[in-house]
Amino acid sequence: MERTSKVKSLQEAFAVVKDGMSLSMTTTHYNSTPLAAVRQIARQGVRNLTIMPTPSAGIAIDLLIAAGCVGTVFASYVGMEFLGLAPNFRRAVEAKKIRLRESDEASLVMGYRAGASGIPFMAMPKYYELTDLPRANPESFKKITDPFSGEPCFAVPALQPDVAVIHVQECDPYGNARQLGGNHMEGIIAKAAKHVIITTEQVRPIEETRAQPTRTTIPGIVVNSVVELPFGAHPGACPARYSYDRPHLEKYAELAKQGRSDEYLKEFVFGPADHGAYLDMIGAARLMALRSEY
Amino acid sequence: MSSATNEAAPAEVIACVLARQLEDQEIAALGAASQLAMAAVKLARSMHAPNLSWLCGGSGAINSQLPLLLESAADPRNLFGAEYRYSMEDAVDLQMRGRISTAFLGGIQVDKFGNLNMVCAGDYDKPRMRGPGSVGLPFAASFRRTIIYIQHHDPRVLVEKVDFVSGPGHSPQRAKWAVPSSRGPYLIVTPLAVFDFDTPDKQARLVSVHPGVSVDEVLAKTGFKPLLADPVTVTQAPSAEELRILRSEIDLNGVLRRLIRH
Repeated sequence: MERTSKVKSLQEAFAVVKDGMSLSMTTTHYNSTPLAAVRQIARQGVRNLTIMPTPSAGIAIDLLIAAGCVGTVFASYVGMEFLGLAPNFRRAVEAKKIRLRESDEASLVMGYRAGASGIPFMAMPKYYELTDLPRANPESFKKITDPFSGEPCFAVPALQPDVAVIHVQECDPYGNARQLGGNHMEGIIAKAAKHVIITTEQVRPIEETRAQPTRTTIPGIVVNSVVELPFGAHPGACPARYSYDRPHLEKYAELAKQGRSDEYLKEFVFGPADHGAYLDMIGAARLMALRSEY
Repeated sequence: MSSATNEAAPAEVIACVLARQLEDQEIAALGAASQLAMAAVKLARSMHAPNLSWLCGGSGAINSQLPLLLESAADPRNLFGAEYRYSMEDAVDLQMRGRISTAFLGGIQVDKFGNLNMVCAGDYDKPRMRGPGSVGLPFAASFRRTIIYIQHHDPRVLVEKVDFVSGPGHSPQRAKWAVPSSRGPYLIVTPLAVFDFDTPDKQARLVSVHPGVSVDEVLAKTGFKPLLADPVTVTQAPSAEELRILRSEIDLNGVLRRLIRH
């Protein structure tokens, strides 16, 4: 019998994302953010998502907030790094249009670790007492007693998002993925999530995986579908493939700051019928100029 | 604009102040958009601390050799010449357990006890301004020492008391809760001045003003009333050798010369 390929179209793969679900998407600042997937989710008009991001996220969440898709954010860092604050996130929090689970780097990483292993929670150092996090987010930071030492510590909950989207450079049809450049916590998020979608610059043959299995960074056994999306992280960067499109990011940030994200969404998210049409809009010359081996 | 090309830019002064604090054998860490701290660790390694190791934010690079200061510490080009690419979970393990000896941190607010805030200005439930979030600032309770640096010396940044504690500074209860090896904030370095915490209750003390800056200007632009060292000195200007290394080995694109303007 033939093995079943997990390769799907963008629309097919993302039909699993429904109102009210928890969604994780990987990124560290502008690196390998699955922005083609984010545009698809926005086009689907999904509502009331709970975003469980990586510790340093920004544009993906800001764009989904602008598109009205977000109900709750586990916020460790939601910003535009060298372009400043994330304007839609900022306004939505100030106007109480979204719910926050005030978080930090360690509580997300350790929460995913617990989720990946099926552990109910993670015990964290007692020093959170010195911060305002337990007061701002008593749902996540609960003071408990270490049963071994009798000392206080904090429990943070396991994170098991309904769907995780991970963008990589190479993936075979069975979901064995290779990350080039950064390797942050994608493997752990893939194990923690209930459903994993890999978006990849290129689908590569299984023979390449088998020739160098140590280069696989996410095992296909935890992956549900694979979508081929060249320049799928644009306008962000995809290490070893292309750099970030700074003028486009500046345009996003500027429109967002001015409260004109609807114009951006109309032009770049709802305008193009699919990812191919989006790339046509950006233009071959521009995309080729972004290519980088680093 | 400086008339003499040899005159140090404000960001070069800060980079040199930060670099001089670092000792050989240390492990230093820095976060996003940290060109000043990045310049400092590279300068210290070149000048006096060849065994200093450092973690370059989201890039995962340990001991990057890139001769440029990129606008993003997470840029994978920082892996140039590095010795290891750490993952996010490596980063948490190394930081939370207390292996980092010096971390360079900042915030949207810094108070006189070195508490750091990246969450909000105003009341948490009704913020005037929502910031990005706490990210790695709670590790201020596990880093052995924290050097705080900011790029804008402004009374809205240097405040009496932060509106949200993301990174804990000095307090009477600190010793009870922090990682035992964590000694807390060590310095605040700004475009105008240097503060330490060498006072009985560990509140900030103005120790030096940068060349050309007056004590009165610093006090007028600081939102808390710092104690004053006796005397308040002038920050040691970058040496010719420090400037040569910065400009010819670390910052080939001249980022520091444009970063902060008075």
